[in-house]
Amino acid sequence: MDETLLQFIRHLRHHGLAISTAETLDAMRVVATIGYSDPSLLRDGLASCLAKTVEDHSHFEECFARFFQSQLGSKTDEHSSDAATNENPSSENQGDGAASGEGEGAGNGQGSGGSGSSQRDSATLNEVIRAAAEAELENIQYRTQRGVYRRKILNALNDEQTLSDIQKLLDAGDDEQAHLLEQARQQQLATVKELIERQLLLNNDAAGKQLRDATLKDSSLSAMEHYHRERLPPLIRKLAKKMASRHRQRHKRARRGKLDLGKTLRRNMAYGGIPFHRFWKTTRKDKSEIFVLCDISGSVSAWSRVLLLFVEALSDVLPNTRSFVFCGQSIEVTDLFKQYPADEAMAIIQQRHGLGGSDYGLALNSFWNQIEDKLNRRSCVIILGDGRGNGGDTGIEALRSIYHRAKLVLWFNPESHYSWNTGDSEIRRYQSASHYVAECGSLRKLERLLDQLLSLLR
Amino acid sequence: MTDARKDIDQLIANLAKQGYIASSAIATTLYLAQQLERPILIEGPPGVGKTELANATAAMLAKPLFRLQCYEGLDESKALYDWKYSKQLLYVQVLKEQLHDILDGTDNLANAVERLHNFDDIFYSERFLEPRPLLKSLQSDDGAVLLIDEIDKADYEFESLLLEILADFSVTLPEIGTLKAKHKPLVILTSNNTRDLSDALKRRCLHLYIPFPEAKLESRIVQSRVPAVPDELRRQLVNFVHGVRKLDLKKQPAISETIDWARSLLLLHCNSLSRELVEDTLNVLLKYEEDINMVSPELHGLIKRADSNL
Repeated sequence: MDETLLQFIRHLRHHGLAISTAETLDAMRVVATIGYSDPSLLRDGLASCLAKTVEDHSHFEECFARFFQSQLGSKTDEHSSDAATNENPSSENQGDGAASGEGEGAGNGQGSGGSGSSQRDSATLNEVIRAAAEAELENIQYRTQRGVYRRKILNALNDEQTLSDIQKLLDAGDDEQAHLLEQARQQQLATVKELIERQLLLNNDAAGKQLRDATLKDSSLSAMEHYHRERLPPLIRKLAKKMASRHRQRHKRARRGKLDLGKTLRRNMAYGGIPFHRFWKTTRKDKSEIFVLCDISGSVSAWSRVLLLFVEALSDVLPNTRSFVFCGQSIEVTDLFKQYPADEAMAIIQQRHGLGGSDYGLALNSFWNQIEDKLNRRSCVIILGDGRGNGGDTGIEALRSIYHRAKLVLWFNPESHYSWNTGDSEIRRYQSASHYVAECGSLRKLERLLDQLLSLLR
Repeated sequence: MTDARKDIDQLIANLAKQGYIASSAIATTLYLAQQLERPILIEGPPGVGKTELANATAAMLAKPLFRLQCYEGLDESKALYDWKYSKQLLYVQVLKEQLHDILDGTDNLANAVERLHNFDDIFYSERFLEPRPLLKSLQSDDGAVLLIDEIDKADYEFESLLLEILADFSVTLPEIGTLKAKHKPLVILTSNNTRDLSDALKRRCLHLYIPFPEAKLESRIVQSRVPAVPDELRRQLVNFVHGVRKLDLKKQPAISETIDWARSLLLLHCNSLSRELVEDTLNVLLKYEEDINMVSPELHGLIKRADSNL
């Protein structure tokens, strides 16, 4: 039965649970201790060693229900005689009302058309399952592979032989026998199809998902379909989590103290200079504050959304962050992120403030007025915008004041480098009043920028 | 009924004797932890009995409980071991004369050092070792229960320190060498999930999530903890608490608060919930002014519902 467990773990991995080899070994020991016979016991036991976070637990429950409902049903057919007693009442039910068929697990209900033929059906199913194992069906990843695997399974089932047998019987004039054989073959084909679909559903297009995530990271947001943007928040959270764990470690190391020699000697004068009590130096951590100002007018709103989500997800390692958005007036939205979950907060911001074209003059001036007394040598200001002020006031004076006061002024421009300084773009002027203007054309570039920023701040 | 199921039911019964009502999931994980000799990592909202499980387990097994409360800045000298620094210094001072005698008669420095080398690292032997909870639990003669409470409050690097203990039940001290556990302790870690724990730590543990219990289980817990509460009142108050948990509160009332509330109602000699009574004692259940303000207008409906449904 260990093969079943391995299959189940593969199934969990496809659904995004990270399960290591060590945990697999644990799971095997768990199964060896408690056995397969008691499903609720098995669920609790496996959950304790395979699902290690609260979200994982709910995923696990789902996967467990789906997997073992079908798997245990079909596997017990082969092994124990218990299954026979399980099988009988279910087929009786079908004979009576024929209504409970849908409710049964896929493994049990599959193909059991009438109570008489149920024995032969399960034989067909077992044969197909064996053939599927031979064809390595569990590796199926994409919908487009269905044909290939169908061919492989049919080969393993020796379908050619069956076909030629039917032909021979027809030639010999034995229509009755040929008809029966043809019927059996059709049933087999249907079972194969169903099995492939089920496996595909179990694997849940995992490789496709990975490929999509990788492409999403590199593709430009402005070119991205609305449909794909829906996938961004979880991806951003994943990236931010990785980044946060990397920088957390560094941060702790820098804070460790050394022996404070002077204080130790002074305090131990009473003992003739023998250091009975030791004192340690402590390093004080500079509290840097980050101000994020995002343009949420039509042209770059998608980017602002990504940056705000990113900053929100990084709140673990960036404790003092204040977020502002603007079309015209700059408005602080830090509290909104504290009150609502990130996605909801973004929707509210867009709805309340996200109308009209960007007015950089008004935005930068009001931004400066709001943060003037908070800005100091430890502050870092990030501005996201394309610097296209529709020919209006640039607000460059306000930006220059910020530049003189703050430790770092970063300008993230979602436009590609080639289109800077064309048309109404004022980015060249802003360049003179910020430490660095960076292009953040894709998620990967943004991730790299923030990564560098984090190592700078620590 | 399988053997494992029988054992687990027995475990639930034994825990109940200690006043801890365990769900099947809790008992299964505890059973596996004993069988596989793995630590348990318990997560869940505050006040659902994470720490209590360790206490009850220690009492059930009749083994000593070593508790390590984690906090920011906790390091190995507080958690694992420390050298008795003052004792070392004192001995050096007292033995100064002795040292003189030993070195008497050596004519040059090389000889003196050579003679000193004949003595081992006396000052870094187990006699000068001050064991802290982690080491104590490894050294105990016939097993122990080690509770590492609120591991999420400790620093990131402290987790790495724990890895050797959790995986091999041994500790490497640079001055002495590796100390193996005489008898593997049952390790229980709790976390309130204020931050993510490292994957390395999670991999070595069995994971147990304790949510707020269902009404039936909570009712049994209250019964076991405060047996004097009449059935009718118990049913009402558990239902009431469950109603309160459905609201958006800053801090949800946990089991410990339910129990406290039951105790206070008992002290007030009441047999059923009434509006005035709840208003007066709501501060036992809710710990924030905002929460109390939020629940107060809903009281009527909550009490009515608590009274009607089972």
